[in-house]
Amino acid sequence: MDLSFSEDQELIKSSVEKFITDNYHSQKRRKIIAEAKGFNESIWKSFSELGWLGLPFPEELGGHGGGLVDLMILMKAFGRGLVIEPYVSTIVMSGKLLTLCPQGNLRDNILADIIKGEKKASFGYAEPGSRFNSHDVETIAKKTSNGWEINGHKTVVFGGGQSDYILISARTSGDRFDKNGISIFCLNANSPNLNIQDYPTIDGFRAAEIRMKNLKIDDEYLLSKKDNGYEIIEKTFLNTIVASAAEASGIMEKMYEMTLEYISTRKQFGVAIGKFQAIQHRAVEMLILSEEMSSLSAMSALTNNKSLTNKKTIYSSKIHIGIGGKKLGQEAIQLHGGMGVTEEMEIGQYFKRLTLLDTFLGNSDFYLKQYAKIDF
Amino acid sequence: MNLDFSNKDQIFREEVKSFIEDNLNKETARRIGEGLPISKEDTQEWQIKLSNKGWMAPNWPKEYGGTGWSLTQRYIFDEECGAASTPRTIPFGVTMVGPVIIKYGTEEQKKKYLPKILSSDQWWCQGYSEPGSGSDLASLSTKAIKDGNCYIINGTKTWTSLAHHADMMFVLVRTRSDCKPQEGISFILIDMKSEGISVNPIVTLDGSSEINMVYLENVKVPLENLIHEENKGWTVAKYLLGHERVSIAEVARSKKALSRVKEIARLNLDGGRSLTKNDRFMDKLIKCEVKLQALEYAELKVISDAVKGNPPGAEASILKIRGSEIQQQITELTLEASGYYAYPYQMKSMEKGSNEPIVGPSWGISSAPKYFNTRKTTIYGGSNEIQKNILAKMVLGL
Repeated sequence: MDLSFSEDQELIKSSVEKFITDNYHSQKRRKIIAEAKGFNESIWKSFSELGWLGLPFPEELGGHGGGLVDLMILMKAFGRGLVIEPYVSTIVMSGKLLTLCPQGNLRDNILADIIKGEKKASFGYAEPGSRFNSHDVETIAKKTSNGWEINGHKTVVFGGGQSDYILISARTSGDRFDKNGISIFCLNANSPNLNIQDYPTIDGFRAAEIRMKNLKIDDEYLLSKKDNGYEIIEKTFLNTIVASAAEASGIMEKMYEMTLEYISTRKQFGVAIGKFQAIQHRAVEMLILSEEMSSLSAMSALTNNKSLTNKKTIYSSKIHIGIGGKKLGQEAIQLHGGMGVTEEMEIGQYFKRLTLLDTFLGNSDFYLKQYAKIDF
Repeated sequence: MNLDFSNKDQIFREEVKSFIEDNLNKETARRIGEGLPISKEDTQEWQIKLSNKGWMAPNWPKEYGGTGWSLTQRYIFDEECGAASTPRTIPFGVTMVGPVIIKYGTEEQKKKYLPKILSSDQWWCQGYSEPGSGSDLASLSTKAIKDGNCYIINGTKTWTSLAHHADMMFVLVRTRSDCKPQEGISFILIDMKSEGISVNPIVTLDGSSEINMVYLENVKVPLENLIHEENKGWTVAKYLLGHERVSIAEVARSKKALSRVKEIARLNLDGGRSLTKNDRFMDKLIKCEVKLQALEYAELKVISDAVKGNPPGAEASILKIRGSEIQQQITELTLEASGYYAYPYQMKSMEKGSNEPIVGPSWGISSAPKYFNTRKTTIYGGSNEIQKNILAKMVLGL
């Protein structure tokens, strides 16, 4: 056993931390959020040059063959820097989904373009009535003579308006909740009969409503085997949770540090408020919550580094984002007092992201239920 | 012991209900119920209706234009207003500075300010906190120096709610420094149109800007705007605080908000089922309602005791602590119920008369902004940490 990073991993860590210190300070982020696209082309280009866009992909697909531990290191630093570029939607989520789909020209080309940084993709799984149940699919794909005709609505598709390709789940057979009968399709963002309503999300990212009305596509745009998409979606979720937990871990660590700094310098009644025991104990609790997130994140990455087989560690990390993250976030704001609720202070920006990470892919309640299904 | 209201009180309740039914702007009430922002005009419309009816100041004695209601009647009035989602009466005039002027003001001050509070012609704001003085309010450093028939005031006030709408501000300023901090503070009224005042909005996490920084630079204020005696401002502030704390439990509004969460939970949001079938969600909802029931009884007890001549002491801090926590829990439940619809940031769609297309159900638009904004309730009005200090000292005797 050795829980220290390898030399290569230390290298990823120091390069991403340096990049964020040098190029991704908060004013810059706020400027990017205000831009029409919601991301920055030159930053994305740097991601590509630094090898991060290819990091989690196998070498035979043009990637760098990184495992989940490598991805965790990158995502934790992204969390600390509150990076709002569409890395999770394009690389982690869509990238994994494509990797899990059977080999094919279209798939390989999209992957190659994504890794090169020339194209972006997003994945639409949620629907207005589905909440967190990704097998609740009412978008229908009907077979035509030379392809498919799709009707439906994918909601809150992260990075949907920033993408060249929109991947969606659609029902090709079965009833509304059946896990069999779900297939994965690829849509060109500029397809006729495809309506994309792009909007900012409250945590600084972008999402879109994707509406398909009699949208016709060729056969090759069916990416999964017909009716067999659900397992791919499930694995994609597991993979994305590992990345998301690492991001949460970076955010929580940073929020703890910022709060510690604040209570050490903010004076009331003639002393720094961190001198009061009542405040000290709460700050210590924040430290522990942050350490727990870090542990659970590392555990989920390590136990799934080669293949996604340990659901328990993944669900555990997700549950702690919701429960521990919520507690830490609320305490961070409270200990910042009035300053904590201002848009100007960085702590609030982190709080918003952390809060919404609980909802991402299903909240802690949802995963408590999934976890219970494993052993009982 | 019994919880029944007297016949007289029940008749009063019916009168309040029918007044609200006849006078409340339904669109304004809908917006409040859904957690959407309302304008100054919306609040003003309601305040003027109250004013015309003679109901603007339930907490003032009759001789000053108050309603002369009993505490029970005031409670019923608040309850009905909360249940109907009326605009909140802006507290800085009628609830805060009004009682202060009645208690400590000169005849001229009463004549000058009270009628305009009653008619809602003048809006007030509160200049207490400063960047360096929050929980430790007595350390405030905004200075007032006497110069002929004026004070010259310099300093910065912060977290000033609605300063951008206010005509007048009451402030705590330092008039003496060579003494205990509390003994050198004065309570002064400032015309917001005075030269040297600038108001800068503070944007909060939800994207709104209801609070402000107020900069005072050589602001001249006539000596007659001093309330009570010079350097007795702390006494005035403590008196005011007692008035503020009674209504801070917000039971009626929280009951209304919780019943809205229940309505949302009944919708089929969870993969074809309603959230009422989701035990984890329901546990949280019910735990919140249990707390709210306890708070409701505690508030009724405070009123019942006060009617018997025992006004609330430091125990009122319990109402503030739990009341503010419950308000936060309710926004947390709504946020959770929203699922993915907590994400879309729809500031423009939230505005009145907006034609922006809405993403997701209309009740979800405000869920995340409300959750973020409501973090303030455990911080303002004396943070919950300060309330606990008060309880530890005054009730526990520690």
